[in-house]
Amino acid sequence: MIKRQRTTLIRTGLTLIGVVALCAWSQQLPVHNGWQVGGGINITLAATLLCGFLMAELLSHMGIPKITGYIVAGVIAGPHATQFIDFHTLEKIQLINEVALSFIALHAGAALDRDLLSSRTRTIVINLLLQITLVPLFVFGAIMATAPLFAFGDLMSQTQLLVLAILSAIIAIARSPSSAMAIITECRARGPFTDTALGITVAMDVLVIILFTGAMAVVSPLLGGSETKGWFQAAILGVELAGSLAAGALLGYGIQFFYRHVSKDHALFLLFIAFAVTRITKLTGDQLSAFTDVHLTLEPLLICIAAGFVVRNATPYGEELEENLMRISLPIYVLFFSVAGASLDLAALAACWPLALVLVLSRAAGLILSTWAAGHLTHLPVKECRLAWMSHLTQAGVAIGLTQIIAREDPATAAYLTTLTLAVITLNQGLGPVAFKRALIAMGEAGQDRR
Amino acid sequence: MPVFITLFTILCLALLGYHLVYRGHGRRFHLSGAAFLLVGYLLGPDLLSLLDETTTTHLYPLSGLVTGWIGLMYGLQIDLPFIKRLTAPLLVSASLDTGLTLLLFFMGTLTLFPALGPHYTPTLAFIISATAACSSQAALVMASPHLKPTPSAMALMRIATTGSLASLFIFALSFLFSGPTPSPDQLSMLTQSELPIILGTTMALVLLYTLFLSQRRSREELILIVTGMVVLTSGLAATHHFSPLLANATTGFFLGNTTRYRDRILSMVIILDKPLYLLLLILLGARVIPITGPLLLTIALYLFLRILAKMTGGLLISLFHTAPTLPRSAGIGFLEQGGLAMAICFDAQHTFPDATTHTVVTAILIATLISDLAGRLSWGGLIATPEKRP
Repeated sequence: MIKRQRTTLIRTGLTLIGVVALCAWSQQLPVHNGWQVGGGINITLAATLLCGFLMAELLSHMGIPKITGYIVAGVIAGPHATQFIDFHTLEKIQLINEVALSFIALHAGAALDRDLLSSRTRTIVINLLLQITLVPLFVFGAIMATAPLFAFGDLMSQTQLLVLAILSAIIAIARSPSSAMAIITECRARGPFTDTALGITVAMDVLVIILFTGAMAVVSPLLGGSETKGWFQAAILGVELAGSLAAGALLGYGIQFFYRHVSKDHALFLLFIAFAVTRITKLTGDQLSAFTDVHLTLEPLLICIAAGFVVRNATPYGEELEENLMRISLPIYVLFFSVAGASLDLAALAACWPLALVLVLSRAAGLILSTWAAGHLTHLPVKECRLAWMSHLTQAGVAIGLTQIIAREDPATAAYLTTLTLAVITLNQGLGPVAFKRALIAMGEAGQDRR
Repeated sequence: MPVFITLFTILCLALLGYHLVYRGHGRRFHLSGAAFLLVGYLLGPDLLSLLDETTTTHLYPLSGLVTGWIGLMYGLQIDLPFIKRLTAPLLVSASLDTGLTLLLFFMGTLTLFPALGPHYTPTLAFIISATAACSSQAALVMASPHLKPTPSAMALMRIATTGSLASLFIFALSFLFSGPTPSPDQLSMLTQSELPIILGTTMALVLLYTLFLSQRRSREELILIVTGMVVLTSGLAATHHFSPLLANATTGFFLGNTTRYRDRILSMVIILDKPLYLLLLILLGARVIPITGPLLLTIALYLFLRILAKMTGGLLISLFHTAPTLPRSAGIGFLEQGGLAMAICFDAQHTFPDATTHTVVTAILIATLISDLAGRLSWGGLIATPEKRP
């Protein structure tokens, strides 16, 4: 058995070396025309896909989740390491990344089975309440307490520091449904622990927008804006949230209509839906900003989660949708997380890793306390109380989006916030998937999804 | 126009068209692909301008995937059992039909076509000849009652397939006369430098496929691997100023004959073949140029030469192909050109982009449509002949 594993490992390593060598060799060729430039982008895309897949296979032999392998491959190929994918190419393939995120969100929504969640409603609600209270409190306290120790504390005014602490505290509760879904898919996990974790993760991504809306209304006067402007901004975010959920519900019924009338090629249709949602939201947002002063963009992630949830729970096509999504999910996950890895800002991490580490630790402490307390209050098994926090470390997506909103109010604070958030995400995306996979294995739910 | 709007519209229309044409009442016309070419023209710079020059440049990766996929599928089909089925009469028949077409078109391109416009180079002559030599074997299957080809239709299919493969070889020759950096001694450069690179890269790609597939893989993993490898092969071909179609076909050929993974890969390739083919038609349609006098004459000349070549070829074949006996009008069976001719056109447009290539490609596309529709209207007499099935 060990010999066989070693052979597989060597073979995977050789394949990886082969792909890298072939791509590196092709990069040395002189480029004379547009067709050759197009060929270069083709090679980058293919290398991202294949190397991410192979790296994940290699690391999985060490018990590391495949998603971490994809991210590591992206980091190595990215602009901060080997520069095989430079910033220019990264920008060009961003489109694929956004489409993939919408697709994964659809998958996450389709995985939320109301019947399974209803048995855990109390646990989920108490978890949400405790987490939105304790996690921001811990992070806020950590920033305020340690700020004098760092150079940026001297560069910022007391008000700016307060705003940074409040917003970082709120952003700390944001999760990464895409990462959670990728781990669940990879582990083929199924069971109450998995459903609770996914339910909390998705609900938290909705809650974080609501809380951020409130926080924006509070901090806007501190940043020199009027209170009215703050509430206006909050109202816009509210409309975005409600609009996204409503659009998602409509889309869900649209998917049902398609499934009822067309019996084949659903996977292609779902990819098209992911693409359409991503681009229509951006297009309408851009058009609205161009003609008015209102920055209102519907959130593709929420639209797709809502659509998936509606199809799963309000139509008879839930199981079919999940199966179709599962069938083509692998290339999507590999591309998405490899590109995400290449996009991770190592420069930001290098610039503020001590503070980022403080934030990661305080966030983890808040999660440990809140999940442990929620578990005891709802009489969950001791093992689950002890391990639940491990399923909530991953963080991405919405967190970055929220930092962009504050940039319109105060670019200086936003610059600090963005750098800090990116650094924290880089650390959490490294630790989170490993922790979640270990928790699923420890709870005995990995490999339980036999569909 | 931003690339995402274009890509979105293309996908939307491709899906809509796919379900209307393949699943609706228009199913019987689906082989011509005319609807998708028209959609492409609608999106192109002459009308909606959604697929303008800049946007097309941004869609290079998609182009590489589309032609690469078709190339791989063709390459995989040329396996040893197929080669063994090519008996001497079949090979002579294919040589007669294809040889006549190639000869007529090569001479015509260098003598008659220049009267209609400038810059008809030997490269273009090879491209035009290659597209003219293509014949659709799928059309013959679709025309057969209950999709079961009769023995004569089967013989015609094999001749058509052999002819199409020869056209790929002719298309490869077009690269002999061109390159990103023109050289006075292109032939020696090809044999000493480019050919070893192409063969070496192909071997490396086959080795990579083998390494990937030597482990037991799930269906999802296979889709990922084949997609990644096709895009990689297309990218490598484009950076070497070579055709993604040919590069993938060559890889597919070696893969099908030197490894045991042919069936596994072919099954994956067939899954995505239809939607990608429709995308190819839309992208091709977008580059169609407006109808002008010289263009109409080019179409007429192309059609005339091709009908002449195919009908004469069919007549010659019928004289000595006795098992089974073929009718005198066997050439009708070769009139439909099919997807390979379009893929060659698409590749040529990217690799040799100039005004004459665009004119010629437009002429070939329109001629292909006319051939397909004409073939469909006239093949009844050829295929519907009562014949005992084996």
